[in-house]
Amino acid sequence: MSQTQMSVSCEKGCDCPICSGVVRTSVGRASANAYIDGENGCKSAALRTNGSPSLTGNVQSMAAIALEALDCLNIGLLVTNADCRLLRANKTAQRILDGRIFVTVDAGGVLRTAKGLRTTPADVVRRVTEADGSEKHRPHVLATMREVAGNREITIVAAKPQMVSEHSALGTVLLLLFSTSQGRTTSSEALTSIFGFTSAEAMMANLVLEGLSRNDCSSYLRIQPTTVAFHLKNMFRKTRSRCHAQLISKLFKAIGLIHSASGDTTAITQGSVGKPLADIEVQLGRDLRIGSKSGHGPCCLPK
Amino acid sequence: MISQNCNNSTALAEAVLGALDLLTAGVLVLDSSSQVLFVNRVAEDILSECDGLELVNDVLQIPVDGRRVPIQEIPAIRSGLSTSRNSGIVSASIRRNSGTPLTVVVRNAVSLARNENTATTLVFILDPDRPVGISRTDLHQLYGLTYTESNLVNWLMDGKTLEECRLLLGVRPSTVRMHLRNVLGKTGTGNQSELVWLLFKNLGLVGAVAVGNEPSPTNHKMIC
Repeated sequence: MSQTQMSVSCEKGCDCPICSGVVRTSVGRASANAYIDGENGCKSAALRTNGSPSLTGNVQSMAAIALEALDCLNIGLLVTNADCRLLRANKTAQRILDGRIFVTVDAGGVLRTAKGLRTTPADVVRRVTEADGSEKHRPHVLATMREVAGNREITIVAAKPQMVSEHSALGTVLLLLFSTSQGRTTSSEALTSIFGFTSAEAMMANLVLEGLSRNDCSSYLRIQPTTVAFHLKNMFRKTRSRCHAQLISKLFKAIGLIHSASGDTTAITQGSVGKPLADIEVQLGRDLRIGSKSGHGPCCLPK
Repeated sequence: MISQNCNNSTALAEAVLGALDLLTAGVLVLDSSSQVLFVNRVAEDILSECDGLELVNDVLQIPVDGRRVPIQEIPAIRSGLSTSRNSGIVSASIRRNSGTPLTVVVRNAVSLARNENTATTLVFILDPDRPVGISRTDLHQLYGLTYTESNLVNWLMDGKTLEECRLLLGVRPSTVRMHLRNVLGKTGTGNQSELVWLLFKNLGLVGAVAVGNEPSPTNHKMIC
């Protein structure tokens, strides 16, 4: 990527300093595969296309941060070669591997499927590597693994990394793992600032984002179904949604996909007992007092 | 000449970075002075609109009272990142001229903490106005959904009610209910909310990878 090409792309948009900044980063991205180097973005991009190894260390550290970013989003990432041998995994993926429910690693470092599942990682990887460049719009393959007994499942999105530099014909395959049991907790501050939720509503929103139905919410929080309905009605009004499914969609789109609350990624799942549950009960006690103060009356209190 | 070993590890690192481009959430990596070190595809898209969040000389800035402030200089974000409360995660909703506010989640990256000079911050951006959806091929591959069922699923995911979907499809209420029943059967879910939840949970962060390249649902008759 030469300097001339950069100025050509700059002319495409307007020539305000903001846009030129954006264009510069996107040019850096195009030449260095989604990678720029701070203020020397253009220079380093040009360097990299010349095959200079000077930035190797930097790419490595960026990759470490990228793995962490995926952890923050609760996405497992496995990088394998064409023979399904594991080259790199982030913490979330490690947790899924440790669970030995869906995917495991054998002694040789090759990914294997746990017993009884139809989809094998080898199969997915083979399908991705065999897909030629003609499927440009869809460079990925999807597969889902459902637990034999139980309702947990993970979705695998496999893709060939889009390499720009020609050295990188390593034949790596990216496997992104999405697990329905990996919870993302949304901070109540975020929900308050976006939708103006009260703390009780924010807590309810977190349960809704965990896939709990009205009845589940009422038995989990040990409150009356009418109270759940009351909170949900207010949430509908604040998010301008008309049904439960629409509320879920709006919550996910605005904040729910990103883990934004304190602590580790502890899920508030239906079956989970112990610390998260205790926390919720403490919070609930406080919220109920707030609720009755503002006039909901004693109907908020569990029987 | 780069040695083979070094070459491979660079390729591996590039592959990992490329994984962030598959996501539908914007991801940015900033250094301690809000200089952008990395920007993924979606973040680049959102920033190119120069609305709410702006990139000036590679510094991520937010307009506050008519002037632009680097994101880490904003008092609430700075104090939030420096305190250990809430694990240094700050979420903010950023107003913009067009559409609903952007949601930004800022947190400290800890993987390089051993080196003080390379303190980095992760920024995630969610744009509620970006269309969400899963390509029909993917839905067919995963759950065996038909053409109409895939459209229905995408509209439901986008926050449309069943009645709105019915009008878009131009069918009777009983027909749209039949389609929904079939989708629920194929995905193994019990109701509409559960379906939307499952799709967001499984594919919400990668779903829209290919939707933009598909023909719009209005001319599906010709393509079929």
